[in-house]
Amino acid sequence: MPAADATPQQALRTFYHTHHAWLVNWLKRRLGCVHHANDLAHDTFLKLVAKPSTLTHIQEPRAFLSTVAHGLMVDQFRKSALEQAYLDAIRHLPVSLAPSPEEHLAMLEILLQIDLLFRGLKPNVRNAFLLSKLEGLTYPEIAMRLGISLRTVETYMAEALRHLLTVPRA
Amino acid sequence: MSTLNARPISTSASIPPDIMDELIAWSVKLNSGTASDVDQQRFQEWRAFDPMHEHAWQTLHAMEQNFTAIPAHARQLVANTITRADAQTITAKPRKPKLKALAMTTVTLLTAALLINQVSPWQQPIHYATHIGQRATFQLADGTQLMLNTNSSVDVRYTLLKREIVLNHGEVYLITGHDTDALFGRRHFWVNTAQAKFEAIGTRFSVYQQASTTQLHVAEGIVAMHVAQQPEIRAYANDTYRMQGASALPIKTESSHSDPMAWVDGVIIAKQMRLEHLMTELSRYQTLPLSYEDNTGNLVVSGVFQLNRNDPAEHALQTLGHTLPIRITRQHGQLLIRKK
Repeated sequence: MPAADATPQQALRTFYHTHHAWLVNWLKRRLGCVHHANDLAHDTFLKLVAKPSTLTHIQEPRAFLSTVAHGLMVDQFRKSALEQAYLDAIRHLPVSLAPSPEEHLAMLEILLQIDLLFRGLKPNVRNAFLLSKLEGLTYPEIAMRLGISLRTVETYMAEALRHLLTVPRA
Repeated sequence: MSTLNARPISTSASIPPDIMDELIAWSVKLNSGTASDVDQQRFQEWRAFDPMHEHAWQTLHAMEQNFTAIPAHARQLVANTITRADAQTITAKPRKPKLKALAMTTVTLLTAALLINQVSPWQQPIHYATHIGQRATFQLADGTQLMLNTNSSVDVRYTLLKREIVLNHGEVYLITGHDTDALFGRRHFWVNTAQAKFEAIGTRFSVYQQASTTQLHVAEGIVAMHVAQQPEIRAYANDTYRMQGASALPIKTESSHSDPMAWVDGVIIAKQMRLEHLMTELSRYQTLPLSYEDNTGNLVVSGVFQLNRNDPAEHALQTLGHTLPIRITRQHGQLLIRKK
């Protein structure tokens, strides 16, 4: 493998030139937009720049790149869904209560971070936890709101706690 | 622990599975709304039973602050938005982001920090205290080691973006942790007293709150001192500063007569110290009414005095009785020190 003798920077450059065009093409087929594909390809390689040591462990470059790019695509979908839901939620607020541009960005960042914490959990497990911690509902109230038994609420809360305590943080 | 240091991805991994199970069971019970006072009492006993239990509970508390630190007026909005977004995630087509992802992250982290610092209310603090003669060490969720000297009390207030320790009275020694688990990256670390605020910049230091003064001693690294609205003053390794009143500037002092950090190792080290001064210091660890006659309080003493024993003040005094020209007698419930 030629990368073994080269410096990490050279190895990364070679890797980029060999696979960039393929990745953009792969993304374009899925996103239907060349600009968007370029952006995401760029972000995919940025992940490698941040952690160049990964490069030496890559056996299947295309499988690796498409996995990372797919993860970023999912992030992007979720991000725009969150942004849209947030815009919908504040649309009805009177002007005096509408968030300033700074608050707006801060809220979006909080949403992304909180949402990321729950990735991999069932939506209802997450919702039960959010109702408890953010809306201050009691377990019986959560059971009523979600149409589940009290026992299930307890199971959900335990599941959410276990997930949040063991999820790796970036 | 060494494997954890090598892979600092999740400090929670350090909670053993059986303790994790118990912790979760407790949390669910206490939050269910059906917990009794007896349950609360038994939970406190569980926490105190094993340092690992306390560590596990700290970790949980820190995790939950990711949620409780969200400004109260925004909590419902956050919960609603995340739930609503599910419906859109399934069908939504990706739209071009308005900003490049990287630039956006930087800007939003900064503004989120500003916003939350302004609006987030105090969180439920965790209270730690020691009795006279007691010293105790605690490991906090961010990796910080907190050691309380005799008769001391602190409130630990960790929020989304700030770590803050309020020294109510007594003395605390801190080795600040790396805070690898924080949501928005390493948080600032502050110690507040009645006289000053100290910002630690990766360091080991002690703070002693007396009746109307605060004393800071830095063992390693840098501590930025803030008094009233004055510009900060930096204290470096081996510096000792005293602050008196609410607005007077810190005064650098020589701690030539005793080692300000020796209590951490369970001793008092006196160097050419006045007897009365030494006994005042020792009386923090054991209440011992004394009176001096014949100017005995001004006798000069040196030595190492153990704190890890019963009645450390009385024992030190009896030892000094062998070397100093003094006679110690008991009178009306107090010890009288006279010339031999």
